[in-house]
Amino acid sequence: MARDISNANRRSNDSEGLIAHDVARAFQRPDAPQVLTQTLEHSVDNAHRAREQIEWQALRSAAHDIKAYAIENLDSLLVEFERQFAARGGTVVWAQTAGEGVAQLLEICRRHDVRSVVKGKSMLSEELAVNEHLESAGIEPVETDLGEFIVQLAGQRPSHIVGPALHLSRQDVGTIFQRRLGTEYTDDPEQLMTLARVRLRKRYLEAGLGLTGVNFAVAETGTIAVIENEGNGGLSSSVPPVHVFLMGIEKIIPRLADLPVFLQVLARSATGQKIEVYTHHFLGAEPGKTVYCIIVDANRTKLLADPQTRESLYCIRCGACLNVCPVYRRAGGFAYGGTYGGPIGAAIAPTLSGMDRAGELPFVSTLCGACRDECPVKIDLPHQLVYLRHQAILAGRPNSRALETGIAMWARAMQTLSSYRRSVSWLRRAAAVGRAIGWYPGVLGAWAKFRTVPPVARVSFKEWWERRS
Amino acid sequence: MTDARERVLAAVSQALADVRGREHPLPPVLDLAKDGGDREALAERFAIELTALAGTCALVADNRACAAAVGDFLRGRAVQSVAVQSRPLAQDIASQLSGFDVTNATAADKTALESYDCSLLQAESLLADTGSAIVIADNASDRVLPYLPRTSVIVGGLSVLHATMDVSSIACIQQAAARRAPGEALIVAGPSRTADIEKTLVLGAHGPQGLGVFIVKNA
Repeated sequence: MARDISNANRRSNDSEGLIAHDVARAFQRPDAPQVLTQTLEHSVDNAHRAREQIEWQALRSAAHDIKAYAIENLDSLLVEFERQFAARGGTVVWAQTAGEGVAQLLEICRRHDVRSVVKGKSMLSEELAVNEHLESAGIEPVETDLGEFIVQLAGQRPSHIVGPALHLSRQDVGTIFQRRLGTEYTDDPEQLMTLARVRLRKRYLEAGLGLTGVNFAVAETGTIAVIENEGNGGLSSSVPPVHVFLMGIEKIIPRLADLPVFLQVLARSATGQKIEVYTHHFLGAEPGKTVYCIIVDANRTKLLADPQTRESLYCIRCGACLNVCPVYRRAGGFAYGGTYGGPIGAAIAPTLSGMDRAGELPFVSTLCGACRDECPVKIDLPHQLVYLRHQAILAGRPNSRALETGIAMWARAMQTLSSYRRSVSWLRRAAAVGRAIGWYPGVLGAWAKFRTVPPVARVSFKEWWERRS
Repeated sequence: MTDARERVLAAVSQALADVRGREHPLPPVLDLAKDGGDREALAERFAIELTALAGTCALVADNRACAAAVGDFLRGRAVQSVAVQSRPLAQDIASQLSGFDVTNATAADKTALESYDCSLLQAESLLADTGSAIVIADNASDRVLPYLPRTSVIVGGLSVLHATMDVSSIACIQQAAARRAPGEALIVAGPSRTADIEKTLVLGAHGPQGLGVFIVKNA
């Protein structure tokens, strides 16, 4: 039976792609469907299998070191990339803010009289809410990646960096196609893919512009690598007369010789493949083709400016940290409220979108460290999250007063042995009553709603020890 | 927005003030080269990897044998029309195919290539440990050719077969970049696929549903 998907996480009109919502509430009512949990476990198993027979740790270390170099030399590498890309017949356009990035894209559309845009997968375009802005300008955006196409039809946002529709079952997709495309209901993935392919094929031919993201931009050569499995990225970039790459400033790598390292770690971490089906390495504009690269900052320089958060710019958007995160697995991507979910989303959203809007996210982590162990470029996400928690407190996090009160009460209880005993005794009685009546106050109630609270022992350890002796 | 470039670069430069002047040498290129044994052993490895990706692979003696094997493959998939990439090995194999409607892709409008049943491409490099092939597409028709027909054939010489993806195996990309070739270097590993619905694998998403790679000993 298909679930009701009609009101699930509508797209935002917000230029930063962050839906204003109550983060705490979203995580108190986790509603990740079973299909998501199973899918993520499957992804992790595949990723681990794909890493056998290669020097995985050596590759991770190399990827980390190359990214560290690229990020610490970003100013010179960006300029070199621009020079080389222009020598290949492309035009580099710069944007400091999300709004500028959108404005530059709309200006290109206007210049080439574009009425529809076919899009390959691009998280940055989600971040900039490109679809909404194109629609407002009377230009039709057409997502061509199957997962993106599905969530576009559903009026939703992607729930996962790599698998945008992972939260939807095949029955959900069948219902969406039936309602939005008027097709006969089917929940067979092959038939659903065929329906999408036939519908999208003519859209490539009609489109005036193809938009893709960027996986890696090589400074040395001014060439760009885009990686995908379906072939939609290839068609989006090759069929329309105009091609726009949308690229965050952090996508630079220094040399073409570095590319094999990243191709090996990305595919294995993202989809559990040894290499993805299509790795496009764009060399330059062929005759009759116009190519642009919009390089977007959109607060990435704020991540860059803080040595504690700089490392998050090493991210290659593989989604591996999401797949292993116990919080993401339980809550799903929509609970994070923005473009990027999971541990990496919690680490970058407070800076990209502002502490006032995403300052809660660093707290939605168990700090178990699985994300750090899984990350193919060795980003120390748990330490970044702890650091950001500190920053959130300093910035006056909404819950910080309650936290301070709690810590003050705890400190007072711990001042003397007798106050400690009284406090513990009171807490034990309160916990027993709460368990008996099935109610706990505040955040404890939220915590207990989805968990079985263990019974309180009738005799404390201290009492038991005293009786024993 | 005319000064956006200056503002972005200034912000980047300012953000990196703490590391300015710090020695940070470019890391050495990681040596990923492997000894995969002789080339025929590599071809076996290639076939195993490609078969796991739902493609098929054959090692053939020369161009004539390759054309015969490709013909059998195409007949098995009920292919009638073939569009050929503008590369010498692909053109030579195509010239020896009989019983098919064979067209040079560059002679057709790129949007018309969808009406062809099969694309015939040339690998500039073959990578055994991933079952993948590197194709250089330097004109508009050759760029869409790998995706539009429902079947794809790639031919490549045994001499361009490498054990793994490393600097030497992507030398063809390096060379294309150095001579400022337009278009793209495309690494293909199996037929087009998606697993976007409940991780169920479906072949032939937007590109070909079937892929055959033919490795020619004496190309």
